[in-house]
Amino acid sequence: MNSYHFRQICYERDDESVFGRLNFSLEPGRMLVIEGQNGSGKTTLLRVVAGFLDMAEGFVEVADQTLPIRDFHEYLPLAYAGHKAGFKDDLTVLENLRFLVALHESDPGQIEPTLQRVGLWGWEDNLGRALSAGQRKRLALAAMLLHPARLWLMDEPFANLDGQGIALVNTLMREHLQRDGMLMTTSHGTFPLEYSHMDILRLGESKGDSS
Amino acid sequence: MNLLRILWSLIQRDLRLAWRSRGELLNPVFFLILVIALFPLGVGPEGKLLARIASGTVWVAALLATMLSLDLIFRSDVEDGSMEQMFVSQTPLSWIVLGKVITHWLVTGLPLVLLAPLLAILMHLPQAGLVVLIQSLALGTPVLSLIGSVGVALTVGIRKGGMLLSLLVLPLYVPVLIFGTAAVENAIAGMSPAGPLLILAAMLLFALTLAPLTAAWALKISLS
Repeated sequence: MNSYHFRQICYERDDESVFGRLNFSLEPGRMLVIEGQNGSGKTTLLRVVAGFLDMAEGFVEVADQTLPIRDFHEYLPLAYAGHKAGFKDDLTVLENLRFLVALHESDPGQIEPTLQRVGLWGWEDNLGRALSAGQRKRLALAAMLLHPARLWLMDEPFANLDGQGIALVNTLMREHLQRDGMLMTTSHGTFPLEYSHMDILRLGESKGDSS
Repeated sequence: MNLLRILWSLIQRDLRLAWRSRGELLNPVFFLILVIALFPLGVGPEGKLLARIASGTVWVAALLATMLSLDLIFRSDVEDGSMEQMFVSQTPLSWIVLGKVITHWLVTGLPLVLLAPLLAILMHLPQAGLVVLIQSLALGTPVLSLIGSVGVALTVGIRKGGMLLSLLVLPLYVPVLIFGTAAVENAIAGMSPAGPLLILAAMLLFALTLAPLTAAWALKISLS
């Protein structure tokens, strides 16, 4: 199992630096929590790691090779759960997941157990637009579980969820770490559960110092 | 990796989505029929005059109808985050673009081809030109969808990109228009339409190989 060391990661938008040169590592079985105020670039950093932002600079060291951050998403399969839904409002829960399963070439037989797991079984024939905000989040979680990826990138995983939902996300995260998965997530500061396998990356401090 | 199966699931999904919003989808087709139906009223019912301008009018209307519908290719997927999910999958982005272009052609280009006989009658197109009109539309409309996908991919990140899209795409549509109408004119004049048709076929092959790659690259820039 490899560790991934991110070196000199930076991203500029309109010639203004969103975050400086960051160094951090992702290790099997550990989660990395990105902390920082609103606008400090937490979401942007997740999007850089996911490979959405083509202008990002920096590189990743893994085993004995070095690759540009831009190519990282092609090297390691990763799952991304962001602010956007990631599924279609005009398709039912089941139709959405069937497509994602085909896209990620995972096992269609897992759809039903996964829906039961996230508490959406019984809603599988509802259109995406008919779901509540919390249920939409649960559908996004189901999509993520059906994507066999070692690295999970989760942006605000607890937003819109009720107590049970938060407990569910915590369990899923813990199980993913126990499988030697890696996890990178954002948080506005407070985290409902303490993990012993948790590293923290603080954003925006150097910026605050200089101003 | 079974790329064909992924392509098929994508097309299936997009056709289903298209069917669920069919009202919006039929707009370009209605636009086309309306334009062609109004033309005889505007220029007068004189058969000879209509026959002269028939092929050009049908082609211009087909081109504008395609342009009206281009935005459907990527916009909703970018806005609701589905594109992000496709992006993090291991499937090449150009392959996904190809699937989306095929669906776009199935729901906008194919109806134009099927409607061609009706449009030909409305415009008094001589019998000799009908088959070639259908052939030229069948070869030309996929090119319109393919070129359009590059333009949409470039402008999808811009909120009001409609005008820019037209400016980008229309000049590239002109050759298709010229050779499409030339084929029909040739057939009506009793000459062989093979030349313009073959050039259309060459354009189709060229666009089919390069447009998905270019659009995928443009899409990457638009997303960042």
